[in-house]
Amino acid sequence: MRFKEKLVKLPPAEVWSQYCSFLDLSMDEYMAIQFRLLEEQIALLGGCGLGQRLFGGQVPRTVSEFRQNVPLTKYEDYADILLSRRADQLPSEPVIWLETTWESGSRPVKVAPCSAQMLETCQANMLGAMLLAASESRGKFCLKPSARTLYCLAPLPYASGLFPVLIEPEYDMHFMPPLREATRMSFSEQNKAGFKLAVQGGMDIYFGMSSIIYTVTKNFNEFISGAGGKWKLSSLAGFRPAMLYRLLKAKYHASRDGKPIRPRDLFDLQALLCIGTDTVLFKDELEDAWGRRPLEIHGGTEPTCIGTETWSRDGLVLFPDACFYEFIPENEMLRNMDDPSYTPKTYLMDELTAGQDYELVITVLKGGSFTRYRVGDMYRCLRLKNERDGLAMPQFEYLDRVPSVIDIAGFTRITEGAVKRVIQMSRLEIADWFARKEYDGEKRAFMHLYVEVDGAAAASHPMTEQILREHMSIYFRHYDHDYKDLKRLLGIEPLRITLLREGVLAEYHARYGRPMRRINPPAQDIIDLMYLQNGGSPRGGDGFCQ
Amino acid sequence: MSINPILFSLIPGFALLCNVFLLMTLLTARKNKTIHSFMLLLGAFILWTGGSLLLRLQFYPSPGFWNQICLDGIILVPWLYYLLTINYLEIKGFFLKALWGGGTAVMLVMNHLSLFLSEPVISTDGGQTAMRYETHLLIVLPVLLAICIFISIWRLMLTGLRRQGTPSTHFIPLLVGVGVMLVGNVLPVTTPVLNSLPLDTAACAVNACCIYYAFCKKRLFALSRQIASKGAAYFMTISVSALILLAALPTVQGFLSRHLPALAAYHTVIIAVLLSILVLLLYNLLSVLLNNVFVRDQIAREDGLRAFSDAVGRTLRLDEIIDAFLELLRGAIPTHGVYICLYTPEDNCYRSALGTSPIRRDVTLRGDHPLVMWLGKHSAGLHYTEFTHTSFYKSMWETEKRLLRDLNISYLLPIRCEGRLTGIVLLAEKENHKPYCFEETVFLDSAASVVSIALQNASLYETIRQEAQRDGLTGLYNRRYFTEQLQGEVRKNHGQVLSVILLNLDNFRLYNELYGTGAGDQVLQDFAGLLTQVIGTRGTVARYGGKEFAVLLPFTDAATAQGLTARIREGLHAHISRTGEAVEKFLTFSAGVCTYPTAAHSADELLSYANLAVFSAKQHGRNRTVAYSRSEAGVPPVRDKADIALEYTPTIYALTAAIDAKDHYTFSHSQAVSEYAAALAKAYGLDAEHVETIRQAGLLHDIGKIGIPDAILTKTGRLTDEEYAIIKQHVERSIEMIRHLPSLTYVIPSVLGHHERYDGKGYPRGIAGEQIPVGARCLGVVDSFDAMVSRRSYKEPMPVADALQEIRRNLGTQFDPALGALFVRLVESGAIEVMQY
Repeated sequence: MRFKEKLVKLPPAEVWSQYCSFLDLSMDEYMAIQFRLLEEQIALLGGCGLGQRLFGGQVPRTVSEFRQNVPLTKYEDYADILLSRRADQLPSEPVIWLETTWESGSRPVKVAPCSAQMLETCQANMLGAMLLAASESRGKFCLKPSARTLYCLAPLPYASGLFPVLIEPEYDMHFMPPLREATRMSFSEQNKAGFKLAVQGGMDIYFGMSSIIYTVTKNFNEFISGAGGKWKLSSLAGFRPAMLYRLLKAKYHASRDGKPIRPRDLFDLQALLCIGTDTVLFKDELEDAWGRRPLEIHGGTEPTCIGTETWSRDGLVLFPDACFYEFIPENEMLRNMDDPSYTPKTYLMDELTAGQDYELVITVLKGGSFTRYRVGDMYRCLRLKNERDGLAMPQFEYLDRVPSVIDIAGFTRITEGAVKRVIQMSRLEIADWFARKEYDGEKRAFMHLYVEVDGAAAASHPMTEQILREHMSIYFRHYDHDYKDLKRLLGIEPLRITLLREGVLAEYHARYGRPMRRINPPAQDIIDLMYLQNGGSPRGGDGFCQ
Repeated sequence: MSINPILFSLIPGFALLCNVFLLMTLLTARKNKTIHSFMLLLGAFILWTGGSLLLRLQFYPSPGFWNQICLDGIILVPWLYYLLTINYLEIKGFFLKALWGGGTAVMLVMNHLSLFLSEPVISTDGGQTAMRYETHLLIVLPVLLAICIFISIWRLMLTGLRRQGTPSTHFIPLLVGVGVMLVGNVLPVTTPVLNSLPLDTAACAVNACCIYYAFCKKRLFALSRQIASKGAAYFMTISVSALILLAALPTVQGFLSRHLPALAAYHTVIIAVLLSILVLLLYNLLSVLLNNVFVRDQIAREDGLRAFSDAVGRTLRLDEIIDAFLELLRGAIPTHGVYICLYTPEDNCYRSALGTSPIRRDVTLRGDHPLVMWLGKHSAGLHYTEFTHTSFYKSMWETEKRLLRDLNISYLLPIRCEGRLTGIVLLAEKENHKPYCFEETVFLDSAASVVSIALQNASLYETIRQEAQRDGLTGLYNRRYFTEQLQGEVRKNHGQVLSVILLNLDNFRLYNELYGTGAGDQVLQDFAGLLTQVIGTRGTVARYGGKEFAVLLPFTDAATAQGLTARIREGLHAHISRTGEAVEKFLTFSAGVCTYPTAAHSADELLSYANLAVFSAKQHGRNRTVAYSRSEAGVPPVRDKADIALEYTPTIYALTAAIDAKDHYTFSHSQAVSEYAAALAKAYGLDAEHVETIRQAGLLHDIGKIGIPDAILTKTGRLTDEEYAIIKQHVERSIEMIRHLPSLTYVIPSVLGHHERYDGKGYPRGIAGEQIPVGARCLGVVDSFDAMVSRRSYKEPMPVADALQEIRRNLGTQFDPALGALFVRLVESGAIEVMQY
């Protein structure tokens, strides 16, 4: 029976139970699922070339043996097998290979295999997330048997393209624009066309990157005034009468009250789903604008979909059957960053501390390839259990990428190597630099590059912050294709430059006995540096803000 | 005669019959609130249709009376419909229930005051029978009330759809019923042609059938076999016959008058005969119909279950019970396969006992299988799809999912016994591809209950049977079973080679004495495990006596049997080495092998000669295997301990000489202790053999000091803790040396325990009181005495009187009170002369 038929024929409680019963698990039951599926995964890995390499010839017999003997891995550990797509070396036959950029395009495209069982699990979990997005409390949801869906995410082979492919066979989602047409469009065209259709025919589900939804919300009036162009009289024929009535009514109220039209005036959403970094910053505004609080789900190319918020939309719960989860506490992660030879300790789901930030380590279950893999995502454990919602498992907030990566609006991930390469290409006489992810007054993320220009070069050429920004932006756009979408799609100016006094970074190193970290140094370090820059004496506190 | 007059009364008649029949089926079913309210509604329908029928027949007392009864039924219908809806949806609606109930009561009263309709008049005009009556204005009231009630019913249904998630498909038959009723009541009013037909009553019957169908679909009730009883058939026959008679009588009478006028006097008889034939035919037809349509399958299943219950009650054999159970399931519910998995505690798994699938497949579910965990929480059978929707299913492995998918499992039946899940029945999809219905699941639950009791009985019987054949301590077969098996094998294997090995643990009494019976039992268990492991399925292993084991090896010659014995010996040695305790290493066994038919000609001879071979092995120094052969037959000479001691005297003196060379004091001390101890033992009343043992133990008791560094042995100052710890090792070192002289192992208990204290604070084992062998207690007293009265490098000798006083002071703590006091008396009396060296 398809999901759609279940919605029609089965009692809601039964549908809920089928897809969301994992939220009723006790911590012990949750861990039992984790351990049991890990046992299966170890057996699968033990029988393939990749697993034998990771296990060093000795298949772990217990979970503790697995955690003790199998090293933490990065994509480099899999690159030779995965990039050449050697399915014979993997624990199970991949049915699809997902792709994503690797270090801002400086390396080949990263590919990640998905087995049929992984997709089956992912499908069930996504349907569960759909129910949760349409719910207001445990077991109470309102989801039509078919829904007009505006889907603002990249198509396959990106991981986000899995959603429509997996959901459509189960549920009648009328994607706007239809998937076949969408594949022929650019991402920007797809968004505009989809929004136009939504305004004409209505929208039940909106699923997209939080940064995109936020931009659409901010510029809603421009969008509805023609979704990129003015409405023609002929296009009025495409309007559903109800939507035309709503549009006219909203316009009337807006002109009468002198306020812009809000999305909630036009749409009565059943579900608003979003993914991407910084979602937490946009949630309140999105709820106010759309009349429904967005539900955040989380995933990635390597693990596919791994977590969802619940009906209260206050923290992610990780699906027990997607991956085996381990967590590296922030201090262990930082120690490992400073000393790569140090092996950080990991903790299991039932060993976490509330309020602590962790780097996620996953072992993809159901025949996945990634084992004790550092995805590069940071999570904060909000609470170990949620008595209000009756959850007995930890809930998380997705914080950001690991500190060595600058993720801007979920579009691009800039690493130290990428910045170095751009500086090299630009031929600018930059002596030293560091970068940090910061936010503007409108909660939009940007990369703040602090640069120390070579003294001789500064004397011979004009080197203002404006010149540097424009010059480097050109090379960033050339180097990283995702980078240019930030400005085009979101209107974000992703780069800001601050010129540092010559030698100030060396001075900092000499004074504090350590160099400034190149990517995302702590705010306090930058405050201290700024005092040095300005000739003052450093002092503690958290006065730095941007 | 036109059809109209017949239909005029026939339609209400059949409608009444239909409603009565439905009510009757419900009377025999298990009831709940919904069924009760449906029965009330059927009651109202009966009033309606019955009143209508009797009105049309102008039955006694008057058409007006029956008209009011009919109207009562009609007025009651909306309110009872409301009650049915709230019970069906499990909604509480006190206010509206009371309001509509009150309104209905008022309407009933008004009806009986004839405020709605005048008394009807039935007339036949031109072949059309019609009923005429006048309506009063107040008729609007019950109509309005009905509309209000139906609106609130409609709202309840919407609530059920939206809030409670009741699927809309559940309401379809109910809505169809209401629609038909509406049409049936409105059509005669709007269509003059149909005005004379009682379509309202027909619609009422159709509506009742729709509700009945909805409830059947929702499995709100199950029919019992009473519906197919004789009483029901009689009732139906009478009712249908009466109706047929009513409808056909004028026609038949007309026919007879026209065609058989000559038999006019017999017309009544002819009609009576025809009616009798009709009744008989109807009765048989209805009986068959009721059986086949309603309860045939149920009766068959119940009969099958009864037969199964009888069958399993007559047997205690597990395989027979499983066969009967499979036959029952196969007969009652044809499926593509049934797998009965029974719990095996040895490996904590549920393994398939038998399967009806043409390709028999081994199905094993581990104890931690999610399906097992889930079924453990349920007492009744469940559909497999229900399991797939639980979070337990999330932890299923792909191989486990594939197995159940390949088997096409559709239904899961737990077999529980005293709260434990003792078995799981996996039922594949039914042959007709339909899901398991309610009646079938009830049947399966009943079958599971019966089989669980039968399996428990079989299991208990099996346990008792096993216990009767097995040794309680080791779990091996016992002597009786072994002898039976041996005799059976000899009988069966004419001319085929067959060997028996008897294995007897050496010095096991000594072992028990040294380490206690607990440790001895453990050794027996370990040795049994070792035998089972080595012999495997080659033969039968049994505990033949206290420390004696027997192995029956069909088709095995003597050489192979000796090879196996060697492997057992290696295994025992490896086992002892693993324990890491030096003192255990003297555990060995002697074995005797006898082979049929070369060395023996009967089972008795086999056992007897194997025994002789064991005896021979013992006599030749133990720890060896002897194969019996006729050429070497005969009992070797028995040697006593004195002989053995004599044999080993040079060895003992060689050892004591060695200690003399290393430490003269220890040598002299050993000799003194040996003499004192022998004298004390003799005075204590021990037999000569035991005295000799103690004398030798005295000579050897400090032999382990050979391994102690000279610097410690001859140290003049106080010993450090570490040095004292090394000194204490001399006891175990002594044992380590003596164990290489298997014939002298009898001195070990005395040597090992000579530093034990009576209060349990000694070493090495810290045993107390009588647990310390008597030889060791003797040595303990005299060893201390000699140490006190002799000169050492670090002390002067203590006067004998003081030493005796010291012994007295420590009676009951360090020394055995009886032996200590006896020794003091012996010294004081001069029976023991104190040696000076």
